[in-house]
Amino acid sequence: MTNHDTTTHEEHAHGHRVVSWQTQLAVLAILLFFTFTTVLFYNAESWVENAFDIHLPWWINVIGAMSIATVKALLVCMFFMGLRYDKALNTFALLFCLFCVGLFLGITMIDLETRDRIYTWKEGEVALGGTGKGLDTPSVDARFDSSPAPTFNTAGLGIVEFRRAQGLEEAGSELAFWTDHYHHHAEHQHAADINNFFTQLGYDHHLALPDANQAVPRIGLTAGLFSAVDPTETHNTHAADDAAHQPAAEDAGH
Amino acid sequence: MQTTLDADTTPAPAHIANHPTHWRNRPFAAHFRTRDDDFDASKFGMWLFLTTEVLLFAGIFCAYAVFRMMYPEAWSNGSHHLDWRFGAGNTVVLLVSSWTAASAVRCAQLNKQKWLKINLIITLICAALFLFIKFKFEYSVKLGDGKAPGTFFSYAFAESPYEILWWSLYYMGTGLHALHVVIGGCLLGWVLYRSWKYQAYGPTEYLMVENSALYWHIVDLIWIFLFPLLYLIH
Amino acid sequence: MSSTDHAHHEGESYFDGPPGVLSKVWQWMSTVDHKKIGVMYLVAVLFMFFLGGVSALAVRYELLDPVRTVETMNEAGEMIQYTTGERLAGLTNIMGAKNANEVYNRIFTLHGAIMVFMFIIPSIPASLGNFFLPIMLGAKDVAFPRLNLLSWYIYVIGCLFGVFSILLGGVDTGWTFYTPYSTTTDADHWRVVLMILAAFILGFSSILTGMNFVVTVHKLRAPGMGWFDMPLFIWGVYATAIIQVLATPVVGITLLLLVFERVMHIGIFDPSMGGDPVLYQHFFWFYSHPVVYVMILPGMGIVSELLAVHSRKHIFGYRAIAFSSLGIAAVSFLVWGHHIFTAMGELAAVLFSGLTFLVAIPTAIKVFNWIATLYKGSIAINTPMLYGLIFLFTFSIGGLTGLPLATLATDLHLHDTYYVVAHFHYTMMGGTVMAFMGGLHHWWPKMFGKMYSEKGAMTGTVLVFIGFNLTFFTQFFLGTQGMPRRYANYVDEFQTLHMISTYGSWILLLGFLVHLGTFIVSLIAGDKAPPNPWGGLTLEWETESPPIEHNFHHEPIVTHGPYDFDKVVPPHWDPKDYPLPENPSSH
Repeated sequence: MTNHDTTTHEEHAHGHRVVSWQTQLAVLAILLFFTFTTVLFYNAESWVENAFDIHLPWWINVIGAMSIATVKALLVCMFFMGLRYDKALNTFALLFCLFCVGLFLGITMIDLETRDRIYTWKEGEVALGGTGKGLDTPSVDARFDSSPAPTFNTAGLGIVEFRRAQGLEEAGSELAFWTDHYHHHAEHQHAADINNFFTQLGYDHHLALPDANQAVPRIGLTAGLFSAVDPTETHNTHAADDAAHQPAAEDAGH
Repeated sequence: MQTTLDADTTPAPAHIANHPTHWRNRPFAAHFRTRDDDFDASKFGMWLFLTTEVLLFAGIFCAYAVFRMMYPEAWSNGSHHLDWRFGAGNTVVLLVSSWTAASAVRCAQLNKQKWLKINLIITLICAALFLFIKFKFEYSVKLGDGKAPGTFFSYAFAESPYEILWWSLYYMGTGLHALHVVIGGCLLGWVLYRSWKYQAYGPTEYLMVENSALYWHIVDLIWIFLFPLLYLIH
Repeated sequence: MSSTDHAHHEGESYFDGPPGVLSKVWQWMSTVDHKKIGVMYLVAVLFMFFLGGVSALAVRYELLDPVRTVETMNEAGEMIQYTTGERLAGLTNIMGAKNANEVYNRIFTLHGAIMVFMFIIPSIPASLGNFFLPIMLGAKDVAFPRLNLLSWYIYVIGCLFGVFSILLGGVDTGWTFYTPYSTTTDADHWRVVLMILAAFILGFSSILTGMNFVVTVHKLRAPGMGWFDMPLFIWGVYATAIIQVLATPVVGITLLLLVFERVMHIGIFDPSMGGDPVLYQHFFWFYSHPVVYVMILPGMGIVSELLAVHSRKHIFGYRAIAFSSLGIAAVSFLVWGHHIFTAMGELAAVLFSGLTFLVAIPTAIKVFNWIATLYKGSIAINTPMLYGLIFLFTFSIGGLTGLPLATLATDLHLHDTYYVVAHFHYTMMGGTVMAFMGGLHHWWPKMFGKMYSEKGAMTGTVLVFIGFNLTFFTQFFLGTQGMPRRYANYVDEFQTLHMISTYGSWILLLGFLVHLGTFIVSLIAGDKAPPNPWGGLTLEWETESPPIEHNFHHEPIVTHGPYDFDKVVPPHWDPKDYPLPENPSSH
């Protein structure tokens, strides 16, 4: 048996490459550095938006975070998982799998992105944010009915609106409702939730949304696809857009 | 270069060295021609399994991307409910554990039995720490607020009707990942037990260490993407 | 014969175990021998085929005549109403269903779920593949024998989940579990959840088998066997295994999300909470389209073997067939959208329509090569060859009728009709099942060491062929005339065609019973099989029938291609019974 008591930079154990501890430590240092960078990037970007009121395009945030994540992943694969020193077959397996992931995400997104006309066709047939009807359906078969999920009647509201109405009812007044909110979250130091509170009191919501929220909200079934509706007449994206923001607008409006 | 990391040369006591599970005494699978064939085949099999793990999480990533595209305001709100400090802390914990897992492989390759065990123990501590942060500071607080998935959702202050989808995906993604942390921890724990009791891993027989470490790295790898997607992108 | 150390002696066949029933059972249940696991898979898979077949017969029985409400006068002179044609109404109370229609819905769901997840996906790769892949490669076993046994147990556990769900009453979601129906259907939670979990667990089994096969093909080929010296069956199983590894995890996460959707209403696929049911369909078909090639590719591999061996001719276009297997595997990931044309945006629909036509290219390459193989071969008309020819006939019909479905304009007319039902039964049953039956007859002597009665097997084959075409060809007409899928009732005009279809299903049943009888008689009283009854050149014919425990006495060294019938005399060849072509060197 060969004696492996001393270490040089790169060694071989039983024909396999041993990565030196210096390399491993350096990779860890770089990974931690990139973690720091991505957090810094996120905070810097938020700071720029808030301090100078510059509306950065949404993709800066996404591209920044995801490209740093990709670099980190690459380092882990190459050095920690040893693909750099390993048989090419293993790398090939991983790359082919990533190709399939790309296909899966890509083509699904293409479909979702080009479904606007279907959504405008069936506009008015489904409520934005859902009807909550799925929650109202009790289980008919009594023999084994032990659903862990609560079923309750939302009276046609979406569950978010339903819970909001419940909360308002419990608090009594709108001010009490938001004051509850503030005290609760001041305790947990949830910055974002506290900002919401200031919004309710009339201050600017200084964590402004990125540009991406200008996309058309889309939901639901494709019912009415073949009904005799002329899509060009009922095409109205703004109505859908407004409806999506309606609940928030109602609560903030005073 | 001689360092403290390279100092473990104590021979194993006789009852361990003669045990059939000791790394010097273990044969390779009989239907392979050489030990190398056995090793390469097992490692290739592990990589194929890792591709299935990547594709499993691809479903979560796909749903994330689709709903972010459909309901950007809900995703933005949801992301602001998460505290990046916990996410970043957990990232550091997992990166360090990944490093110690890689070091454990190295120690097995060089027959450094003591450091192999130390590295594995640090990795397991990191796994526990990750889960502790996740459950104590994130899940329990959020569930207490009513930010729960599906019909359990009872948070009265949500702004967008679709925030409920954000929470569903948050719990599905991180929950599935936490499950993988537990599985990876069990694998590494098994390796630690065998190396503690029998010195089962050494220069010619470190496949199980290598494959468990690979599994652990894929857990880390998925978190490397989950962290920016959930905490940083808004 | 048994010794204390090893249950086997060198030269003893793989299924000669220790004496005593219990120790025999234990020996089988704890075996890591790929041949035993293959046989165990075969038994399990055929049992599932039986269950799925019974539910198929029930579906056809219900459709024998339309449901009619008749108003008539009884002997006392009162007007009375009664209903005819609800032939499954007797099961309503037993299954706890609301009415006969719901019974029908549950039964066709069971047929689909059992046949797809529990029979046809594992059928060829897990049974014949497990048995023959290592032998044909010249290996002692698959790369990970213990994982192989584990995947069998996982398969059985998955099947038990499914069967348990059936015993509780079954589900009526259709085998695709489309949301939001599957998350809101009246059926109680645990039946639906159990059935979904069954599919999820079976996915694990599929992944492990696939991994095992890919690694085995890469690492365990005998010395001298390059990639292009592998039999085409191996190429088919290899391409299949790649799809299994890459596609199955996606259905895993899909079904997991669906379970949470069903139990906790997480809302991702639920339109009433802002989720997207079409997203579910994308998720589901990203797996379930590639998986139809998991079903057909090993079948294509078997047919390549059958046609070459039984016409004693070098396969035409070896590389073309091998590469087209990989081509089909690659294209299979690009076409899932053609299952949801009517739910998609135009751009994606056009894209998927175009990509779908691509599948026809590698498939046609294979069919042309098979036909060219037969040309001027010395064709032996026996059961395996007959099934090979039936495959060519029915699979071509199945493939060609797919093209109108890939065309967007005609698909609008044909989708969700019996035309689709007929199309996929022609590919799945006319393709995979026919190839499976052919392969089973081809390798039966090797697996069990017994010959079967050629007369009995031929009778069964002819009955299956007639029954199959009667059952499903009529459904093309029904579909083009507008008969929708998944309906328990229909208008009177369709009755003649439906009746022919149902009678066909009975002939089909008869055919399979004849096959079953032939196999049982063969096991009990069949002649001992010679090592190489067909004159094959692949490695499994070099060892005994049935093979010894580690397959070969010595590791084989490959010196000739798998189809060099014009150059090599097959091993253990008895020219008296199976004469060679007159002028073998004229090729």
